[in-house]
Amino acid sequence: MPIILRLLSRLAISLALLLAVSIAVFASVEILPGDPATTILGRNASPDRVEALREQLGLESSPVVRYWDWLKSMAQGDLGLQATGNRSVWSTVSTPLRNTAILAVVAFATTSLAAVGGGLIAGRRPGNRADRALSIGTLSIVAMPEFVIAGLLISLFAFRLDWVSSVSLVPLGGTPLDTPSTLILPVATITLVAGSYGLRLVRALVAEASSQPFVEAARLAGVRETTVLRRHLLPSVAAPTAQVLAFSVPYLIGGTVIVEQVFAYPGLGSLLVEQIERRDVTVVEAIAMIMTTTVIAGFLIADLLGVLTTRHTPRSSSRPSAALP
Amino acid sequence: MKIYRKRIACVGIAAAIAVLLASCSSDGDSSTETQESLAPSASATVSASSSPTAEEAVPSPTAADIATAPATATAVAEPAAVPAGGTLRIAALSSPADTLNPAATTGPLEYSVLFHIHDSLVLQKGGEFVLQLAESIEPNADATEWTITLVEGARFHDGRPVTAADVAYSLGLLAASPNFGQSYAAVNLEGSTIVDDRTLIIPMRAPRGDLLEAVFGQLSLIVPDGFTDWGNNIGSGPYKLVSFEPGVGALLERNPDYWGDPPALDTLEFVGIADPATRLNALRSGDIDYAWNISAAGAASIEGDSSLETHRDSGGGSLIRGFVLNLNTPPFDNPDVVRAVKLAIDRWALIDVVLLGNGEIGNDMPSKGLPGYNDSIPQVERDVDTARELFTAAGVDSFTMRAADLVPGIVDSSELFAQQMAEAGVTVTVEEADAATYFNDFAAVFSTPAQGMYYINRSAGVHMGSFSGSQGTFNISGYATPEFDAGLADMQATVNVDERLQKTEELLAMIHYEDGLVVWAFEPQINASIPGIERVSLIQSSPYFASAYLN
Repeated sequence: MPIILRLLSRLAISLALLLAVSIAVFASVEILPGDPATTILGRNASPDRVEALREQLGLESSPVVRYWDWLKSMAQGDLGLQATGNRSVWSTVSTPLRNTAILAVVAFATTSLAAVGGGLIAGRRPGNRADRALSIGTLSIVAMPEFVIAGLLISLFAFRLDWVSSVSLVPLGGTPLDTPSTLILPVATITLVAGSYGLRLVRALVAEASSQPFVEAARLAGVRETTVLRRHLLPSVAAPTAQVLAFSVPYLIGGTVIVEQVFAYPGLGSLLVEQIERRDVTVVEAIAMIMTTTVIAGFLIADLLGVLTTRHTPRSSSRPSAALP
Repeated sequence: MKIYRKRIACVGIAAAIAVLLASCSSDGDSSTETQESLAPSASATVSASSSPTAEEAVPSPTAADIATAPATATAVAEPAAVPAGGTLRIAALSSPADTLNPAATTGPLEYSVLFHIHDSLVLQKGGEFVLQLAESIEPNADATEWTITLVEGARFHDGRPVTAADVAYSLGLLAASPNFGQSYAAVNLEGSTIVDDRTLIIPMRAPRGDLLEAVFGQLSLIVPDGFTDWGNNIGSGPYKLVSFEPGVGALLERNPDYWGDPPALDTLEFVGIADPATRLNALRSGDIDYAWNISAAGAASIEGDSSLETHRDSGGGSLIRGFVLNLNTPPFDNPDVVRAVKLAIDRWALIDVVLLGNGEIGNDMPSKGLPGYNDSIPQVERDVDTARELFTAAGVDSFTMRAADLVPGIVDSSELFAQQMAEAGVTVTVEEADAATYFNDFAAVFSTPAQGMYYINRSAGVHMGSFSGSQGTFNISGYATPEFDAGLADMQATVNVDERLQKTEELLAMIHYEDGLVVWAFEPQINASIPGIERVSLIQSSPYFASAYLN
């Protein structure tokens, strides 16, 4: 299939997927006990006051009608108003989104570097000293909860050595890039967590590719190791590696709640959890749509990379695992 | 159950996204493998994030306090000549969804910011009520009509004078809000009369001699007439708002033209940090100077650190820790059983275990440390033998206690309670409930025989108005004898302060002996700071820096 057609069909599927996610998310928030009115009123939630507030917040109509209204405004690019107030959803979401994007981009770069670099070093000669060290190291990190890793980094680098700050406070009216040093610990934590996962996966890909006949043949033919790496190993693992990296995107965009809490980083993950607690379905939907779109885009890019790499390196397979007996 | 339902919900949403996304990627084996590898991490992060929000919405001034204090209190005289200048960085809980609309906000940070930008008619400062923007607030002889007279010379930050119209508009905002509508219900704002620029007359729907403490003392922030540009607030307070970003913080600068005592600090920088442990970390690493609300465990961890100080506020900033027995449901419809429970619990053990020793003993009444508290009633002492006899005589050998961690420790305290009851021969089953949705099912809360509960420590008048008597909207013990109802209405209508305080004490005695409220402790709010920040006060349980200075 021509790339352009393939891309178009993918886009159509992606739109359908967004729709399905939006319905699933809306339904999930709906079936939770309580609604914005009861969460606002708390102990004051006597039945008549709840009813009055529901009316005021427009929660009286059926979920289907409210979903349809939301979908209509969404289709026009309008995220709507918060269910728990009359503030626009965009004004609530935009700053945390920007902050998360900054953290995600930086962390994606470092995670990719760690995963690919470490994966190549470890997987090139499976079983050697570097491989064993990296494998054990990453396994220990993967087994550790994030807040423990973050806590260790804080006590070492913020309290003991006093090199960096223990919190990532964003200056008022500024961005996290105004004080780049505050990004160091959150990025380091994310890199250790996501990078360790990625490293282990890339290592497996490289190890597999490393034992392929054409790589061994090249090595036996006396081709220099850097050339083997550049011409044979790297191209054959490029596409699945891109997918591995693409799979770290959901974590970077939505899964960093703990990291955000520990470092007081004002991002999207903590906002999502908080808004689920408040049962604010419009904000939750907005965040879900942003996250889903990013993830889909990540997969599309990974797929596209896969297609392109496969075309240009016919000798190797984009799916080394499938090529194995 | 506890927070599991919430966790399941969060994980469910994450899973829904993940499952649907998995179907998006059609690229076989390697992608599936990766998906599985990353999924546990994602779900773990979501589920592990319990809610500091719920935990900390507590000390917000929504639940401000009342007492019975002089209705014509005046500003506290401050000594002159303090070192001026400097910046103070304060960390508090804030949310990206919060607002600086006084009638709608729920964030502790936002409340504290509002108290610095806007003046109030009345402030509750420590246990006292202090007139701020009002020169006087006086009732007529039978407390059916109140006259508010504003101070002279108060101006908003844009230069406009503060007038009676601004007051009428501001009180109207609060009266129409879900958070304060209840307490303003007695005030007939539609019937109010603007006499002149400085005078407003407000009729009551029922006589209220305690309007100043019970209503204005909860929240009476004044904004300009017709103002709605929340986030760019204009007030008449000691500090001006420079910038505000929800969830991030706020920058305030000294108001050089302030009509009252000039503030000393040049700048107040409020920083939003949701997690109490992170606030303490930020203080330890020097990123902030004052951490509002830290945990008892956190306070213990900096005990020996001379570079930091902790501050405990046990008056209006504290939490009432207790159990509520429903007098309308068996076995607590028998007063002897209620008495037996009060005798059987070991209050000190609860304080030591659940609060890590951070608490003052409770005597089955609210409002310790606040005006109107009844100190003359002897402390209930543990008496397991008498309790056992009373339980046996009443034929009670078991009951169920419902508990949710509305604030941390309620479930723990209920479990320890069960152990203590066992010593008196009663088996208590603790039934855990979900904290986030605890109040959604009002009927269940009102029909549960026994439950763990907390309250903000409000002055007796406010507490009793909401939580006792037949008019109390959240009277979950069901204590509403005709004598108490009559006494409460009489107290509320009493204009003379001393008389009202006397009546309040009598009502508290009734609560102590007859109500199903078992108060085992008052847990102080703990704040931490660098040394040398002088004269910080607490306004409605928010730290207030208008007269603070750096030493």
